[in-house]
Amino acid sequence: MFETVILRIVHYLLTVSTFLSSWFYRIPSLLYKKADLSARSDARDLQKLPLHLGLLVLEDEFSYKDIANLILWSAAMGISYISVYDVNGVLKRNSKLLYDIIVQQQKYEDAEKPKKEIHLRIVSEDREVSGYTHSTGTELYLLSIEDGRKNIVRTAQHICRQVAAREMRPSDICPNQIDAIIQDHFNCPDPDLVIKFGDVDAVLGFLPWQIRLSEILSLPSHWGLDYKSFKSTLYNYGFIQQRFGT
Amino acid sequence: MSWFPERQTNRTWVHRMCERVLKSGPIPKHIAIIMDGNRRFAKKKSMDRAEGHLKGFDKLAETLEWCLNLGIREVTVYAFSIENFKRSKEEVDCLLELARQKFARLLEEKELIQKHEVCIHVLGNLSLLPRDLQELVADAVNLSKHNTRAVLNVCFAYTSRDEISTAIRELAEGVQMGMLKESDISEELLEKCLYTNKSADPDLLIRTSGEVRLSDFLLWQSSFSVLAFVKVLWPEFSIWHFYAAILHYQKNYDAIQSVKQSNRMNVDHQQRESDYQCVLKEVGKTLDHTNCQILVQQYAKDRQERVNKFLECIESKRDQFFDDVAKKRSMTSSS
Repeated sequence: MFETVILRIVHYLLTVSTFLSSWFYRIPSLLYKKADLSARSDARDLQKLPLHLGLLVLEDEFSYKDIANLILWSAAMGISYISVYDVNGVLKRNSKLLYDIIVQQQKYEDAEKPKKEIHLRIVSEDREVSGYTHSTGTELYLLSIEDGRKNIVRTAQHICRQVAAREMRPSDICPNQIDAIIQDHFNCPDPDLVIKFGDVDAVLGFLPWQIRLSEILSLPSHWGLDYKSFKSTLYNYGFIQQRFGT
Repeated sequence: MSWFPERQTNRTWVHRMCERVLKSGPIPKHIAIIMDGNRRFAKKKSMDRAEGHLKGFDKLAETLEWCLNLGIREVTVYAFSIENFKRSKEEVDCLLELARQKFARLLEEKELIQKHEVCIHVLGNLSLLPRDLQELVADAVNLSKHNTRAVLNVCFAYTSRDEISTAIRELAEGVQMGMLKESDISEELLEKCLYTNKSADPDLLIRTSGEVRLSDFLLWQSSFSVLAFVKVLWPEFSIWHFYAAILHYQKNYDAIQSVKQSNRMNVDHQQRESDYQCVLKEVGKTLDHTNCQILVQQYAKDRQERVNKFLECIESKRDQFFDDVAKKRSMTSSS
């Protein structure tokens, strides 16, 4: 009984301290009101930019406006592939709504600047929401738990079909071979950076095969996220040194 | 230092107190650890790299004790990645030599393993290892395989992608031999073909040294694990960092359990759906309700039998590997 109370208090203190520290980091951005969205020039300050950015929305409530902003900022910085993940596929189901809000938010941007085409895809249903097929645009993927382990299972079934049809030998199966099939399905490189939003510290089923080398960073919430916090997260990413195996 | 404490190191009343408090909340059953930072530690203290790795091993022994004290029964550690073979020859040799010494030591301390009742699994593509190391590993695994109180999984010559592709290869062979149908392949079956088939998914994954990626470790299994990225280098990992990681796990516990459970339900649902579709395909389109239910149940039963037979087959193949290694050795030693 006594121990339970102590543990409760400890957990409570932890929650308060994380809450306070998250506000503490926000102070600088609260002082300066929303700066001009010169994302492209900001991108030049960054050490490196992810080619594929994964945004994991691990919160129960979604703010489409904030998600749209995140996507637009990333696109403006020149990130070519963005995937937005939620476990249950809420965003996938509401892709049209999200797309409309993206277009709407894009209108607020500086009219002088050329706009990036956002090309939205839902891999599991092989469906494209927007009609653009520009090669220069940003590819946006909406993903859910269905695209994770289950996609590995589908790949395994696909391979077994080929083996059964004698198009492939079991001895040919190797990580590179499987990776090629998965890459072909998603048509994008592995995410180099994953940003989680929410209190849960887990990837909750996000693309297990592909996150092999992804850097995993967290932000407390996507609600009301300002450009500065987003940029500083990318800035942190720039400082991470990649050493793999060697 | 040996793998297990010969007798309990003295715990202060503070530690005992902390343990009691932590134990009043949920405690992970299975912890996975990426022990990163040995080389940086060595550099920092201007020691030899080899000494850094040795310090890292000592820390593992210590951590295992902390886990047992808290009632954590299973620990999986990333000891050597397939990618590590790309390091300089000198360092690879040094790491393999360390492993040789430690496995030899483990065999010398038979009584300790039996006393602590720890079962040791070595997960990975063991055929990549030098012959003599394979023999030591096989001996250690065979020696401890009947122990049940605690499990230590050592990932050696391991990457997660290699593990998954090995599992897919086994499945493909099963299909080729006619033991399995392609539609039998499910999340559950694939999971049972992984090296970790005997373990539940890790509840908590700790990575030290401030790196924030999984580096091809338990990619499949850690989908619902709480991630604790700790800033210290592995040899500097203290009991307080360990307690903090447990607290972190407890904070995330409820949210993760609910996602895990709904995923479980989803998997079961898809299995039933798949069985139903298979029956439809076999019988044709016209089926009345009651008849259909019986057929689907029968199909599920048959499928389960197929799968179990196949899994037994894989299991004995894996045991065979260790027996073969041991046998070959006795042949060479007698000649």
